[in-house]
Amino acid sequence: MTCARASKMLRWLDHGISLMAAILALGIAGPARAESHGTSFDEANRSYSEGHYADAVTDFETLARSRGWSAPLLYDLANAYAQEGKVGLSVLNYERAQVLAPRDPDIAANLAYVRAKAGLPAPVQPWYQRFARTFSLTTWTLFAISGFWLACVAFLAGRKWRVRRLFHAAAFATLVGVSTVAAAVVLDQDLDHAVIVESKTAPVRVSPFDTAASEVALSEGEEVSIIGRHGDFVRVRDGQGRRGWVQSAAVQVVVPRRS
Amino acid sequence: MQSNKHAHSKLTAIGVGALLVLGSSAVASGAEATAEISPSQIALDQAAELRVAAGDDGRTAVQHVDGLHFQRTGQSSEMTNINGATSQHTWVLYQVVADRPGSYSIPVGGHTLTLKVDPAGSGRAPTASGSRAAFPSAPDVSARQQGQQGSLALLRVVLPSKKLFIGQSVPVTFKAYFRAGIEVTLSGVPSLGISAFTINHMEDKPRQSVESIGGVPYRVATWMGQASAAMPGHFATQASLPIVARYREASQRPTADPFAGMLDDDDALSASPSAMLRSFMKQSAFGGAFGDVFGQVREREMTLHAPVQAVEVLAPPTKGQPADYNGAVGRFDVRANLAPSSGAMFAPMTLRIEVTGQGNLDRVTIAGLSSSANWKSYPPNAKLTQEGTKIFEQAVVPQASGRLELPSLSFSFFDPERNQYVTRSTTPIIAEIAATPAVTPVSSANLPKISPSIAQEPTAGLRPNQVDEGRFVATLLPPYRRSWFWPIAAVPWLGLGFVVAKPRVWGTSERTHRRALRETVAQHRTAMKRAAAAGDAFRFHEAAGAALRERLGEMWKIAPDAITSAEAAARMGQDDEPIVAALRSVERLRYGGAVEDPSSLTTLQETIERRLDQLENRT
Repeated sequence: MTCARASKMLRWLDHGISLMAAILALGIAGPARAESHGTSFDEANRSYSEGHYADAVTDFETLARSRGWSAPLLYDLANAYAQEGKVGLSVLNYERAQVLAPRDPDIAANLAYVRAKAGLPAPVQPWYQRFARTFSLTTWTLFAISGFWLACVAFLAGRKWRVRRLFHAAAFATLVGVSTVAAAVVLDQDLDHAVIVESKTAPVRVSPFDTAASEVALSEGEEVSIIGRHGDFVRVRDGQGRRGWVQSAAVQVVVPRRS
Repeated sequence: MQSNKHAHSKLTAIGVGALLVLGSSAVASGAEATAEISPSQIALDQAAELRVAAGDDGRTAVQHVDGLHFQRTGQSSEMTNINGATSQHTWVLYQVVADRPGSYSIPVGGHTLTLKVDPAGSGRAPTASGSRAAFPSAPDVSARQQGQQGSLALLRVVLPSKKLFIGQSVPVTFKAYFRAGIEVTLSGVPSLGISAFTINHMEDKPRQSVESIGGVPYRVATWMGQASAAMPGHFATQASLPIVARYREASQRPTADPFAGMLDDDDALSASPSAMLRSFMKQSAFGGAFGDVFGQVREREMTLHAPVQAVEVLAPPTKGQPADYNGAVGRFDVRANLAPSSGAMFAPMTLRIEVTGQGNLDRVTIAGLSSSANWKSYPPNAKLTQEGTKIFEQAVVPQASGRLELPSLSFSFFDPERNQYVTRSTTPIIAEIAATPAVTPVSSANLPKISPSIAQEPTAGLRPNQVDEGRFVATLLPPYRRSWFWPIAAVPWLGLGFVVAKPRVWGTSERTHRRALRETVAQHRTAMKRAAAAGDAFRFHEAAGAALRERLGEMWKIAPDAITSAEAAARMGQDDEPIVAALRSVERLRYGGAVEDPSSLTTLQETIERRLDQLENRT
């Protein structure tokens, strides 16, 4: 089995699951947002291609407010921010795009390029996190729920017809469900990741007060994990394990709790 | 409406030709002269030129002819030297128009000329400028032939074809003629006057030249552009050109406006040809106005109108239309090349597609290469060169290594000359692609070399934007953090729990109870049969009594053990009922120790069986 073929299979699998997710979302939650008014995706891209990056950013942001988010939209928005020299917002939107499309090579390439250009270290991920990033959280969730559904059906069928193999299938499906839940839990830790976006350097203070001493500073575009909140400050942990308080306005979480 | 416009054009043609003439309106008489008229046959909406040789006193002898009007338009002289003898001839020129069709005899001196006038529109084919204008299609030649000269300012539009297809681009020429001596400022560019047409590539500044019409010099401003039709239908051009004219007005005629009623006065157009012509002749505006250098200088904004032309716009046929046809009309050729010709996996390359030919290149669009397993492609950028080539440059990224083929790209267009669709294809391109790691940051060194004017530059190492907007979601939160998820996820578990816990929670159902009763009674009846067969009266009556009590208990909704023979007799009201008798026998056997005769068991069994069946049916 070649790597390309495996990649193709994964892509098809992802498309199928995305379709399921779309149907589920439409059935339960309704359409994401109303249709956009005014700005279109093409117009925003046209502004970008003509070098009007500020206009492109405005158009993409307007589009996101009116229609919601998509991986290409976030990727293009990140490109526009990168062209404007706003590293933090660029990294943030690449990260968000990766939440929706974790295996997109364009996103990975541009995110790596922007980080390298800004001198930001790429986050080190253990193997289980890299594996968890094979699919998006939505895909993993749907894997899990599908596994549990199948387990229930197999269990009931086995009970009805007294077939031992169906009990085995139910057990396997349960195992799949539990495994995917584990993967989702690993990925879920990313939800608390945030990116320094507001200023070139954000001082990390020892306590959540403006007058508190600052020992280190975080660079724009650097990723941190939010581990606490107090007033206008959030407690963060950077990639080296250092902890401290920064102004909450200086960071934005990758996956906001509210759309 | 169309006929009215046509009539207006005819009237204006006559009026303009007659009014814009220098010289007096007098038709002289008395002198003997030779004469000629050209042409000798005209349409009612056209004019003929009459040349009359002036006498020694410089006068001519043109007599009045009913139905004809003569307008002196100028004078020419020629000298002839024959064998040393020099003679001079002076010709007076007249423009002749008619009120009605017919054959006219024009007596001039001792000669009689004949002029045949056909109904309007039946004469020679209208020229490119239409019948309304005093100018034919080639003013410097035909005007002299037709004697239509003398206009102060005119606009003419030339379309090479009266039948176009949507999207077809044809050259259009606007020519504005101004008499020498008139100071004219252009306050705009000419327009075709049809919303269904667009004019592209029109020059902002016209080319200027001088043309002589009937010996009269005219300054000519020429604009050239490309007209393209946007919707089907029958249309009439209403070309116009806004100008500001400055002219010197004769002091003795302060109200005389040389342009009044001539260029943009609809009232003048509504009059009959002859009436309008006479009106213009009476004004005789220009002869006096420009001859008087002490007159007042006036400035007036006005709009020149060209004669109306009918144009038909057709939609390209739907029959035989290729699937990839996107509106290009003309004759084109297409070719493609890849730069560099070889590369590395995931390293962007540039596919350049060139479309050349005749037609509206603005409407030429090419989707370019579609993404496939071997190639990832980005939308092409297009530019139009001054040489008339449309170039599409597309970034393509090989997704595999080895000898990869870029498939041929097709481009379809409609050829209006052949009236059919044509599809052209590029030659497939083979590229040698070396293997490299999959996802590596793209450096500016290996970006596609797209020309700066059209590329999505400065990309500076960034991969280009994605153009497929993708599927939109309201939030990035995973499903399990949304409100609708857990009810959905809980459904199978709830169902499973319901199925497993149902008997315990809700107890035995009525149906289950009846099934259990039926099974119990069936067991007692089986025992009863066996006892009867074995001649065991005690067991027989025990089984029969149990079966009867079960059935009666179900029917009376009391506990089976509470049923006695007395209870049954009381409820059934019959002492001789076999059921009551059977219960008494049971009680006797159980409590009295009586011994039943086994010989009657078979008969008793049949009776009890029958009564049990009746009870079961009743319940």
